[in-house]
Amino acid sequence: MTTAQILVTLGSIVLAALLALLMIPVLVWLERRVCGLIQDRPGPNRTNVFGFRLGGVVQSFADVVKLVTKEEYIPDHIRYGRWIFLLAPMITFASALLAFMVIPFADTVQVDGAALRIQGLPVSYGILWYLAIGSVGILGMVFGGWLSHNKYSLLGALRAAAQMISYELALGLGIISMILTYDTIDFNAMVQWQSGTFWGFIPAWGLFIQPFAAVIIIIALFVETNRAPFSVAEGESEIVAGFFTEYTAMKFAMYFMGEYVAMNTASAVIVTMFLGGYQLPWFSTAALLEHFRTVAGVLLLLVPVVMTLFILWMRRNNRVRLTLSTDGGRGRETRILTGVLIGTTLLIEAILLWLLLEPAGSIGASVAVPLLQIVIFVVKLMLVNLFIILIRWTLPRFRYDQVQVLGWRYLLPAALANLFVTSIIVAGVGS
Amino acid sequence: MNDTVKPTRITTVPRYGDQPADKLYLPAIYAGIKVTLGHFVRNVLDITAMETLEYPEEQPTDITSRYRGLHRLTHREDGSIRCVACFMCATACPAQCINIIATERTDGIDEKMPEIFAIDTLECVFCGMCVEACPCDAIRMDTGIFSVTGKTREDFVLQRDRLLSHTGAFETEQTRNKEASHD
Amino acid sequence: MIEILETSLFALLALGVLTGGLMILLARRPATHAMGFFIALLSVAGLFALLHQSFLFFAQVLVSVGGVVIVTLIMILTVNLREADLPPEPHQTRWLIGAAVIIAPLSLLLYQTLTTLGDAFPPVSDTFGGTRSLGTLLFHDGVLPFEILSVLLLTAMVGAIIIGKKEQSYDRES
Repeated sequence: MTTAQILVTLGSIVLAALLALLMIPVLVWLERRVCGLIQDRPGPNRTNVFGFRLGGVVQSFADVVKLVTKEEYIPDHIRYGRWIFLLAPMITFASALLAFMVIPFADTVQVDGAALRIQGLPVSYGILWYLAIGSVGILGMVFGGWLSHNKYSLLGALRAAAQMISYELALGLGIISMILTYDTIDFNAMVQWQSGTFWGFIPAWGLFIQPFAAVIIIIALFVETNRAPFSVAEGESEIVAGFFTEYTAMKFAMYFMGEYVAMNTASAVIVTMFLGGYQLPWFSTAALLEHFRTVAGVLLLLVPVVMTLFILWMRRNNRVRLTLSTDGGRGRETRILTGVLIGTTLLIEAILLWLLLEPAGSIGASVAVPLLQIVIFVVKLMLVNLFIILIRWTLPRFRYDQVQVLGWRYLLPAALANLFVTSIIVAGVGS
Repeated sequence: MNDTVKPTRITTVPRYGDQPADKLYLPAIYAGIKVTLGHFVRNVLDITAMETLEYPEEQPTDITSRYRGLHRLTHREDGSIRCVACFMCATACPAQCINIIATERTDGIDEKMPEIFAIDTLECVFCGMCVEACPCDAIRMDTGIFSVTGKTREDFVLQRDRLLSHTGAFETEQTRNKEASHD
Repeated sequence: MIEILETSLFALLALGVLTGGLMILLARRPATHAMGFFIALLSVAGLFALLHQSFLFFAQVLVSVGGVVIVTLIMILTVNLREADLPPEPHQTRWLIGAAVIIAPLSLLLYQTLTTLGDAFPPVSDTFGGTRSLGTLLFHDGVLPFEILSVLLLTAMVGAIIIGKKEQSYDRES
């Protein structure tokens, strides 16, 4: 392995780990802020580090510090199985993190003759890995709820387990129909399949090719990650927190983080299978590499416009009402952030200008295209995360028997029917 | 005789959920998302138009003269305490948070005055029964103070001198029961 | 270097299987049983992965760990047997020693069979183990057993549903 190959492999591992872990405070912040803005209130906006609020992201870090420094204790009524009680959150967290590692962030990169995948785990069986490892996370919840020696925890854990295995069938069948459509189990090949168009101008995203399976899989993924409206496990006995009840401090933090990583992974799977992954809608990677100068030119014009709009929005909104006496340092923060953003924009512009002026097919393009794809992936990921958070604050929670009826009586036959129709169409078209 | 009396007012409760669109639930989700997304976009575009008060820079705007804030003991015109320690407020209080110890009055205006008049604001439910029960208009809750802070439980027990030092927050005070003040 | 890694990984996974099995046998609490089951099945999946059988690894994790273990847990929690409900088992140690004595020669036979079993099957190519190769083999050479297995599973499912269904009262519309 040459140095460049080692660097790229290490880089993808670091990127996958960072994306999974750094998304946790961002998702916590997004959830609380979006929830607040939907409910006509500002959400967290006061915690600051030397005056920098960054819209409230610092609040998530304050939460982490609080959870780390809280008193760790195990309730006395848990007499046996304490090691399983401590192990359970780790199972959930580990399986959620592992499941994220097979998502492709960019197309395979040709480095020194070898095609390297930009995934945390450069394997070719992404979807099977996600299904398998994702289903291990439930065990952590069941063990945790059981070993808590608490009626409410037990109920929450049982309901979570039953709900999840009910929807795993629908999820599996839906994913099988997607595998049939894409004819591969490789996430990267799935994304590549979605780079064409069909009926002329509609991008061949999974969402447009198989809307039915998309709905089924998205609903099943909501259930798998225990997100509202299917949050019977954690919000069911709403006063006591379901299977979280006896967990304090860092153990609770592991469950909490595991849930957000699982939600992030589900978003990543939705983006990869249905929204075209890391690609721009009408361009494939080869097209990007070929016409990179055009793309660089467009970006050269677009980035300053977007940044200007963002800076204007920030100046308008990162302040308190003008009738107040103090603004808590927001004015200073806005000025410094404006400076930082303008500086970043100039840097990006310089890089794009250099890429534009360079002869085509050089190393600049082959480094910049994966970076562009990573950026597109992160943008799409954040959009789907926003959608999931929006759904949480829109829909009331389903009752447990409604969840089971939906899973067995409606989703499973729908997934089966979709599988039949898909296989007929694939067999008919393929021959 | 089969005399069935027909009820004259029949209210038909509309039942939802049987239509195919209801059973599908996706149209309902779409309608819900329209509402929440509308709120979200509106608030993101202009976050200062929210009705949320940025406390403590913005104080509440709905404190009127009827608002039952922290208690205060009133003075007569000559500055002495109006309360005659008749124990009516302590009796009327549903939370039993007023403790009074009476003593002889030295300025000859009345017979008794409170030596100790303690209100435990941790127990107080701010119902205003003491104000209604007082025959001398000695205790009022029109200070407009809504925030009491302290570091120990004892800090929340307001004594007589502190209650005397609170001032009413509204200029248009009418003294109730002027004939009861024995002026 | 790779050899040492593989051998140590194999030792670790085999230890996991044995520990899990022993936990299932010797534990006194059902939670430890379930944890042992989980560890044992996960280690078996790891052994499949060590042999480059990726599809079997996924099938094992998905079906055994993600399905069987969870359903077993639900079953344990629902049935909720207590120590008092179980029949008394006197002379447990004697039974165990007697069984070990009887099984020992049988295990020798088993070991002999397993070591010579490899000659009965032709060696597979290096790329075998992925989904496509396994699927091709299954649907070309093993279609009949596969379909019979699916009918068997269907029978089991229908039987489970019928046993689990509650009696419908006649004045309630289903």
